[in-house]
Amino acid sequence: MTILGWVLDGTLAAVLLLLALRIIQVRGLFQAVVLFIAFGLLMALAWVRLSAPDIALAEAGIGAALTGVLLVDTLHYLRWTTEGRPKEQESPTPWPIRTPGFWLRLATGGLAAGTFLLLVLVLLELPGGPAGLTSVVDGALPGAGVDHPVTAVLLNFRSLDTMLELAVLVAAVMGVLSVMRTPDFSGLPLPATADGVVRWLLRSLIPLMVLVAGYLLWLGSFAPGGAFQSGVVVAAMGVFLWLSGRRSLELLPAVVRGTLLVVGLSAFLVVGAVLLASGREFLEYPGEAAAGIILLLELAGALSLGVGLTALFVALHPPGEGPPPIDEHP
Amino acid sequence: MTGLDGLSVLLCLMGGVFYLAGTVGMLRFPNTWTRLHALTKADNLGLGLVVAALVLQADSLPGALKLVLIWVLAVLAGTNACYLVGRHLLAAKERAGEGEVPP
Repeated sequence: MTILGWVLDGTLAAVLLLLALRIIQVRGLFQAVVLFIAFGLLMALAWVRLSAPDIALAEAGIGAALTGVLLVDTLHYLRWTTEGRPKEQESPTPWPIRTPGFWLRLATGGLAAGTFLLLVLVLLELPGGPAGLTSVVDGALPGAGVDHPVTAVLLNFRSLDTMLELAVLVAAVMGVLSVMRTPDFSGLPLPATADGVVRWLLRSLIPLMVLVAGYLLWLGSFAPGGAFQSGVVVAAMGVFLWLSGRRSLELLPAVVRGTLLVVGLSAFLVVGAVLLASGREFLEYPGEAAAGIILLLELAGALSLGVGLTALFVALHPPGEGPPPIDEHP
Repeated sequence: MTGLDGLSVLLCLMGGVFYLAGTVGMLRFPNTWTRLHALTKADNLGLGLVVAALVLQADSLPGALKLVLIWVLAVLAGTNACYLVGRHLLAAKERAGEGEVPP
C-alpha cells in the first residue's frame, strides 16, 4: 500500500473514532443524530477501502440513510411529547458522573467494552492466512449460477443464512404490527402534503428509484448489488412517499401487503421444499437452474425487504395523533 | 501521463478547491442562509468538476453517463435540501416573530 493509502486510511480510522466519541459526548440529541449519519457514511467509505463495496452499499443505505431517517423522526416525536414539560438536567455537566442514569450508563458502557474485548479475543482465535475461504468460493463459483462471489455466497452457498435474515425481518415487522394500535394501517396520520417543489422532486425521482431498484437487483449477479441493496431503495421510496404526505403501503389491501412481506421467506421455503422433494438437500440448487432460482429469490427478497422496512417506518406512527408537521409555512 | 490524465488531475484539483471553499464558508459564514449558499453552490460545482475529471477516465460511455447521472442526482438532492432547510427556517422565524429576511 502506498503512503497516500496509509494517510487516507489512518485519517478515516481516526475520524471514525473521534466521531464515535463525539456522538456519545455531545449534549444535543439532534447533533448526535446528525453525527451518527455522518458516522454511517464514513463507515461506508471504510468498507470501500476494505474492498467490500457490497457491505458499503448496505451500510450507506441501511446504516446511514434509513436509520438516520428513523432517528430524526423519533426525535421529532420526542420533542413533541416532551414539549412544555420541565427539562431534566439542563445544566451542562462535562462528564456524566453523579447525574441521573449514571449507573445505567456505566452498565451499558461496561457491556459494550466487554463485547468489544470478546470480539478482539475471537479475532485472535481466527485461523491465520490472508485468503480465508476465497479460494474455496472461487473454486465453486462456475456452478453457482452467478459471477459475483458475494452474491454466490449469500444466495447459494450460504442461502440458509439469508433466509434466516429475512425471517428476522418478518418477525420484527410482525412484532411492530402486533403492538401498534391499528394493525390494518387505517387512520395513520400523514405529514402535511408536500409543496410544489417537493412534489416535482417526487414525480421525477420515483420512476428513477424504481429503475435503480431493478438495476441493483440485476447487478447482483455479476457485480456488487442484489436483494438487500435493491430492497433498501424500495424502502427509501416508501419512506419518501410517506414523508411527502402520500400513501403507499396503506393503499394496498391487507392481503397483498401481508403477502409482499412474507414472499421472500416463503420463496426460500418453497424452493427448499421442492428441492427436498426432488431428492436434493434443502436449498441445494441444481447447477443448470441456479441462475433462475437466485434471481427469483432475490426478487422476492427485495420486495419483502422493501415492504418490511417501509412498514417498520410507517407503522411506528400512532394513529390519530402526532406532532404538527415540521413545516407550517404557507 | 497523457494530456487527458493531466486534464483530469487539473479538474479534480479545481473540484477540491470548491469543496474547500464550501467547507470554509460553512464554518465561517455568519448565518444559516449564507452557510446554505456556501454549501450547495460549492458542492455542486466541486462534485461537477470531480465528475468531469472521472468522466475523462471512464472506460465506457455507459460508465461516463452513470457518473453524470450521479452528479445530476446530487445537484437535485442538494438544491431541494437547501430549499427545504431555508423554508423551514423562514417558517420557524416567522413563528418566533423574528422578521429576519434572507439576504
